[in-house]
Amino acid sequence: MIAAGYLALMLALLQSYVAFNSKIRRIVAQVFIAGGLLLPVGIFLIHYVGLAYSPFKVIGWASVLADSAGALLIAALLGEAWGLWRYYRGKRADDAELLLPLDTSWERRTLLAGGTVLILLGFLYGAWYAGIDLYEHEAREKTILGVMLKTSAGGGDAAQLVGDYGKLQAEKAVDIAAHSHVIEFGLLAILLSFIQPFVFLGSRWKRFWVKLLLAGSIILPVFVRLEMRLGLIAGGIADIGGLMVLIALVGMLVGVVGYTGSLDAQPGRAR
Amino acid sequence: MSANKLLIFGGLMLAAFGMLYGLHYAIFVEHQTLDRMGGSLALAFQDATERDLPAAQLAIDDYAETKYDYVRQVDAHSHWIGLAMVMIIFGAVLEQTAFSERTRSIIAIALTLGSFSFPGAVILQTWTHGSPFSLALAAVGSALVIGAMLAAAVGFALQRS
Repeated sequence: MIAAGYLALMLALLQSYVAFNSKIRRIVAQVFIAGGLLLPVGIFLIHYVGLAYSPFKVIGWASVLADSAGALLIAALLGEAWGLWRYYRGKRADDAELLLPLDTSWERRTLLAGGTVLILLGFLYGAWYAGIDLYEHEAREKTILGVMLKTSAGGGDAAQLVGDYGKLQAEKAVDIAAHSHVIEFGLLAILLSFIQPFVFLGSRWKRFWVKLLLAGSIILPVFVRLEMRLGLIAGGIADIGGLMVLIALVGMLVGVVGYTGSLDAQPGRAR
Repeated sequence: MSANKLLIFGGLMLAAFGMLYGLHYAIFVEHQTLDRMGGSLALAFQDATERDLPAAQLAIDDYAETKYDYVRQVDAHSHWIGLAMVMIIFGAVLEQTAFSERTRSIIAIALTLGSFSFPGAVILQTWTHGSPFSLALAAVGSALVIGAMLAAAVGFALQRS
């Protein structure tokens, strides 16, 4: 759902260049949003619906819903690509979306550079994980399961091995969470750089929210990764990092609400 | 084709391709794979209770092999779409780097090649378990993506107000 949300935001940035009239743009957007909502709902329901009333051997109705939603997303993406292609071939919509203002403020540049660095760090960590940890984790899982079987067949106590297996799963989970979170925060920072002209706050506050967001974006994944070594302390610090991102988002949101309020306050603009 | 066009079109095509792969995988492969993984594990424990350890080990080997493929197939799907998002967003912002169009084009080509080839190499690993070629292709693909990101980060940092 989050990935579909990110993709929707990115497509929103491109709408000025989609050479369809507003009615078609809206239909394509609605198809995308419908797909983005139904896909995770379908996946969530797979466990609960199972194979009930399904005519297929291994695919249930929830999977059919998820797969159909995926098809909607693909259709919407191809529609957007077609609209962009028309734009680059010289077609223009009469009621095209307005272009976003070009802004080279400190906040914009810092979010762009900071977001790119976060994504880069996420990629580097992912490459390190794939090169070093992934194969070791796979070999260790196979070893633990093999010893577990021998121990249980011999009537021994496999409790320690079950604990080792659980620890291995936790290690995998924090590695993947750190990798994906830092990249997602990087994408979020870059997306937020686009709305900076609409954050109706003083420069000092805008910079403060940018710094808080970037600081939280690095603290959370780093301390998620350290949870296996430092335990709950690292988990608590990671939560604080997440809270910092959340507060910065709310701060920027307040600025955006202030911007719309300032527009409404102009004579003749109130709606 | 300019850098931003390449990234935006390439990103949309890659996202659609990643989703098509996911759709095909979900319908024709995933459930069967999960069924096989669960079945192998259950069989391994069943063999163990019957004191047939060689058969149990064979079932564990089958489980490990199936999971090796499953992890990489799901990873390739999610990485294709994730990298497509990175391409689209950089297509929208790359013009704001402090680089010439030529340098931006090199960054865009590197990011595009890496984004297509890295998950492709991961899929290749499921056909040729541990082959040097697929490992090398994955390494080159990820290096291209990382290099492009590094260059873009420098370009944004050098940007003047």
